[in-house]
Parts: sequence; structure tokens; C-alpha cells
Amino acid sequence: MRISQETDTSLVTLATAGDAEAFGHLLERYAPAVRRVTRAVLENPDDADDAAQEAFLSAWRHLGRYDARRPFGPWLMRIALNAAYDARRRRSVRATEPLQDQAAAAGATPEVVTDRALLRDRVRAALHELPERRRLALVLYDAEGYSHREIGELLSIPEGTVRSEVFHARRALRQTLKAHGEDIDDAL
Amino acid sequence: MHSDLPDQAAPDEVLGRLLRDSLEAENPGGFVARVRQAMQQERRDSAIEVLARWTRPGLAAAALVAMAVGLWMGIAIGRQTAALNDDLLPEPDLVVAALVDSR
Repeated sequence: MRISQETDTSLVTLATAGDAEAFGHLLERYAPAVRRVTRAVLENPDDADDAAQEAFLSAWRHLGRYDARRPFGPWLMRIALNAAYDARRRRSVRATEPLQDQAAAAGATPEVVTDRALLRDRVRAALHELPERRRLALVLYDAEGYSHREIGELLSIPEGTVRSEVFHARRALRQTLKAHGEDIDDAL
Repeated sequence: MHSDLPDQAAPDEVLGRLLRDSLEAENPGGFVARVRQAMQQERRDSAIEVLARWTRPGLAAAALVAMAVGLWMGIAIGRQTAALNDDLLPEPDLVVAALVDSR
């Protein structure tokens, strides 16, 4: 079996024994999801990538603490969320261009901005209008496929609250996008 | 609560795709390369840190060992010299006999 096809658990076992290449495969496997989740917390993509990098380095340092009986994804995602929260706490009052302005700027130059890019901007703007817990519940459930129970553990809230947050987040997102003339079900 | 939220049996595929697309970061290869580089740097730094951590007590221990060896050698050489001197000195009765003969 090629190393890239190994399960998370066997890759973690190899990585814990010092195999950096095995951890590299975990990095490739989880980088997209971790970057999306840190970006769901931190609007600025550079800050999100810094937090994602810190999350992977922290996971690499603390692999010995991972309980192999549990799935690796939620363990890593917890580290990623903590890294994003820490980054936000540390972040100075740096001027960050609001997403709404980016979307407006994009709208001002339609010749260089595709409809799809504009839709992405609108979705991000709509997401960031949601309270953080609601936003994360939605992203972790619908985009990343975590279960209500796993999200509850990640966000330290009861499973029922996760269901409620996802429900309200979906509804709010649909309404916000509809107000901008976008219908999610027609979007893709 | 569950009955109020009937549409959550599974993730919403369309919304999920839209969210992933919207939050997707650019240059995935670049990010992975950057983290790999940071990991290598961290390994180098930690190796240097370990060496640095061991250097000071290591030097102190080496100095103590050198002092102990020096002390031990000093004592050993002192004892050898004393023994050699003892061997070179004539027995007292021989000295007395020699004095008597010389008179």
C-alpha cells in the first residue's frame, strides 16, 4: 500500500515515530479543510493561513497526545480552531479591508471579476454576518461533514444546540443571499 | 428539538459545495510546501536547542571530570614519588654501619 493511501491512524503512528513524510501526507490530506475552517474564523486569508500553519506545527509537536482510538480529523480541527482563536486574540488592530467592501470593489470592475468570484465574496460576507458559533456549526456540518456530536465536542456545546445553530445558519445564509439576488439552490 | 429541524439528516450537499468553494484558499501546493519548510526549520531549531541545552552542563561536567582526574593523578604521582624516595633511601642500620666504618 502506498503511504498516501494509508489510514489516518497508521500515518499518525508513523509520524509519531518521527516519520516526517507520513505527517506530510496528513498535512496534504487535511490542509484544505483546516484552511477553510481557520478562514471561517478569521476573515483575512493570510491570517487564516498563518493559523492553519500554526495548527499543523502544533499537531506535529503534540502528536504524542493524540489518542489513536479516536478519529484524527476532529482532534486536528480542535487544534486548528484554537490556533485561529489565538491568532484573533493576538491580532493587532490591523486594518483589514471588510469583505463587503471587497465585494463592492469587485462589483465595480465587473470585467475582471467573474460571477462565481462575486458569489464567493457574497457567501463569505453572509457567513461573517452570522454569529461565530453559528457560522462554525454550519461550515463544520455542511462543508466539512462533521457529525452534530463531533461539532458539539469541538465547540463545547450540546448536540441539540449544534442542530439548532445549523438550522438557523442555513436559513440566515439563504435569506441573506436571496436579498442579494442569489439562490443557493441555483448557485452551482 | 429534532422534530423542529427536519432537514438535518445529512449535510446539505449544494450548500456544502458552495461553502467550500467560498472558503477555499488559494495555492494549496504552496501552503503545504510552506508548512513542510516550517517543520524542517523547527526540527533544526529543536536539535540546536537540545545541543545548546546540553552544552553548559556538559562543559561543567567535563570540567569536574578533568579536575577529578587531575586530583587523582596528582595524588597517584605524589604516592609514587614518596614510594620511590623510600626505595632510594638506605635502611637506617646501613647508615649507622656506614657511619661507624667511616670513623
